[in-house]
Amino acid sequence: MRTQLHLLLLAAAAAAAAAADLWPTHQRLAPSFINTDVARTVELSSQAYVKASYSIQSLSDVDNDVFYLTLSEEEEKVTGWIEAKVKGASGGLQVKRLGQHADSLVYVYAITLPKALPKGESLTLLIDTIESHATYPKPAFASQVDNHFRVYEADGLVLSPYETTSQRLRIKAPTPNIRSYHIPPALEALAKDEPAVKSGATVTFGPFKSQPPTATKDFDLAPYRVSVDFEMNIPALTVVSLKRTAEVSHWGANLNVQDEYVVRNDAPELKGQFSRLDFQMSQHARRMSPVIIPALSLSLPSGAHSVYYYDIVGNVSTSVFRPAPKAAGRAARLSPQNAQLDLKPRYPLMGGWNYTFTVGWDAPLGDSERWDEVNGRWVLAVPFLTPLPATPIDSAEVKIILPEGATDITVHPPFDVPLIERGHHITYLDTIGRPAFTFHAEKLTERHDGLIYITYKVPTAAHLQKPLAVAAAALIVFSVMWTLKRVDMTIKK
Amino acid sequence: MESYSQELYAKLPPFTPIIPISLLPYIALVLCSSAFLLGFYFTTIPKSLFSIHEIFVALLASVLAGFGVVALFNYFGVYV
Repeated sequence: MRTQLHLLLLAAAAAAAAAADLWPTHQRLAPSFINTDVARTVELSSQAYVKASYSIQSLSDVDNDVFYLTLSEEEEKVTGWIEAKVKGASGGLQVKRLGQHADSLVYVYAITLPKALPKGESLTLLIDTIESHATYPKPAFASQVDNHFRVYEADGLVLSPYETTSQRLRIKAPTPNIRSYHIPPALEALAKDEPAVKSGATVTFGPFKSQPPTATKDFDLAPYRVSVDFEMNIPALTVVSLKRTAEVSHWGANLNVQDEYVVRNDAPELKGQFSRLDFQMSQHARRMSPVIIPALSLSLPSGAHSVYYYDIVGNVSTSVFRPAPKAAGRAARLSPQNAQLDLKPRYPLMGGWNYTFTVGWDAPLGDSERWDEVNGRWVLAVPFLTPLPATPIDSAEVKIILPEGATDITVHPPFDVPLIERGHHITYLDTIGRPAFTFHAEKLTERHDGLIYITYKVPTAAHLQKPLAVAAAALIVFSVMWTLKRVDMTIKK
Repeated sequence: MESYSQELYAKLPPFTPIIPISLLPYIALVLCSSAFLLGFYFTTIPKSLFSIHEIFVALLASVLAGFGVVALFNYFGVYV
């Protein structure tokens, strides 16, 4: 009988419970700062990398240790990663998600400053966010030899609960071929001099004149939306779902990691039929349109071996595994090399096409697990995912299977995970089954590859359960033979 | 939940199995073949109603088979 204990950790509930001091009960966002200059730079790739620099000045001596970052509903839907730090200082600042503000319907994040900012003093915060699926292809359909054009839309004015004296928005496209950019007349009127300037691959909107707080119920940002129509020359791959399973074996000193991917090509959907002839010709002439994804590349840990790659049809042989070159001692520690796995799916991925496959490998357990003598326990560290460059992961499930009889288990995920399930997993030579923890997360980016730490103890008796189970089975066979020897099966007269 | 310290983790010694992995194929061969031979010997023991000899041989063969099969599984890549 499977027993499952669901530990539901809603990020908002946990944050709200712990951040009661940051979230005033009447939900008033204390206007204790003023944005003297906000410079937002958006680097467009298959994800949008937004780097914002907020130069703030403190207006009061109370409520001056938390800076509130607000995102619109649309931005919140696409934002997968937020990190903040002070310009010139090392180390990140704590970013806590407070949820949706009841009046203005903006999503509020509380960034705790390293120390309270006294009245009159200034500080520059660098806030980086990653937006996934923030651009859309235009036209939505394209043939396999067409170019790939996308549109990025953004709010020209920054959404902030503080007054902003000066701000500008810079959008950097991946190629200098920008078909068009649009700035609405309402925003043009607010510009200090030139409203929009294109130079190379960068379009700069602004600087704009002083603005009151925009994250309020009355301010409507809709008339201030800008957009850039650009050419994309980078493959736009999305991992729709990822199921990772990591199984620990103490007898074999091995960690098996298996990833089940469902990937999709987010280029404009294929118009018409796929022509194998055109595809072969473009491959031969080395002029393949960026809407086609013919291959993927994964970086596996350096000790990986026995890699397998299969899909629903069976084993896929079009892959090359390059194990990490052996480097000993200091060289290995200074520049840890990754093993490279180049995969070619059964068919090239055209716009809108999906592909489902499974990749797995074995690695020595010594690379991922340490022995804590003081507490008598093992500490396991498994990466949450293997990052693919600039590829968003819409939903991920990571299942970590511990050895049989593991007790006193503590679990430390690298970031706030909405759901952790504890279950049972039964595999070869198991008697009572193994404890398994499943982490569910959504809207992930390549920055979410932190380590999941799990500590556990296994008593010696639990280690011996496996051989003794097999011995018991063998003993049963011997008993059957013993009994049969003593049963008389001759036919008597 | 609190996070585990990365610095703490880096200082700990890595996992080492009690039985070295390189020895597993030989252990599997020795244990499985001796379990098989003992099983064969078990079938040659003359029949009597209750024999401690039989029970002892069966137990020994089972225990050897148990450890041998675990080593065999690991050698073949099924890391149990």
